[in-house]
Amino acid sequence: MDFLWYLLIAVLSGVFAGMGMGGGTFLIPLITLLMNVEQNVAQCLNLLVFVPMAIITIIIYAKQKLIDFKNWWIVSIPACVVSTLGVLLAVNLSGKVLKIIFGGFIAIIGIVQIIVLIIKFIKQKKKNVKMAIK
Amino acid sequence: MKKWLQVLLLIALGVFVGFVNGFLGAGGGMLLVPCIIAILKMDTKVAHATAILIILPICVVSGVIYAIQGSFDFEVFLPCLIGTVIGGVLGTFILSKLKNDIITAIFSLTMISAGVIMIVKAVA
Repeated sequence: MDFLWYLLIAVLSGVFAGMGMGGGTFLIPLITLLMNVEQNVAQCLNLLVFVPMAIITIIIYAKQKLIDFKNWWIVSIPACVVSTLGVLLAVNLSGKVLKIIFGGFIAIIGIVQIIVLIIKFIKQKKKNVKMAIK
Repeated sequence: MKKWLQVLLLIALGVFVGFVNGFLGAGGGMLLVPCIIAILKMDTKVAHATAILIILPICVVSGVIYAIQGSFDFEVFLPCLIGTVIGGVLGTFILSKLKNDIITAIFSLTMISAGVIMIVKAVA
């Protein structure tokens, strides 16, 4: 039964990921809140689950010439090195502290996105008013 | 922008995104896209695509280290892997049919509530 629940939650977060909206930041809270999976297990899961989809997506995008192959490694190599430090810190923290930091992180991302949306909405309205005056 | 400054910013970005993505197991792509657009003056579509390539090796490295540290659970991994692939394919189809702002709003509100619930549950 758990298998089906996991599957359902993953489909939902996969839909967001497919829309390019960060499915991972969705999968982790759902799976820890609804299924009581440990925070570090959910984080490990999210990183590895991303790999096959990413490979398929990269192949498709590369064919459409949408990938900048010149500069990516300048970001990726230092990132790989430092990410190991991040992991070691995460597994040595208590699950509770990690959950609080993660919760704060996704809440802030959500708030920033809402603010960006509101600014966009206001700009659109101003533009419409100007058009109406003209 | 001078080439050396650009390289320096890209390395700094890598350090930051690498740490966050390793520490929280997510979020790297979201941070990357606006930053590489600013530094490399990229088109949004190219930035999205390139961000996936940047993130992929980071996910492999940090995912494997999590697993070595004992955070891997195959019983959870298998259904989630299958589900994510199905959902990912569905998502790319839905994307072209729905209005983007509404999805972003729903997504953001869900993230805020999930974040708050996580904090409250952890503190309580």
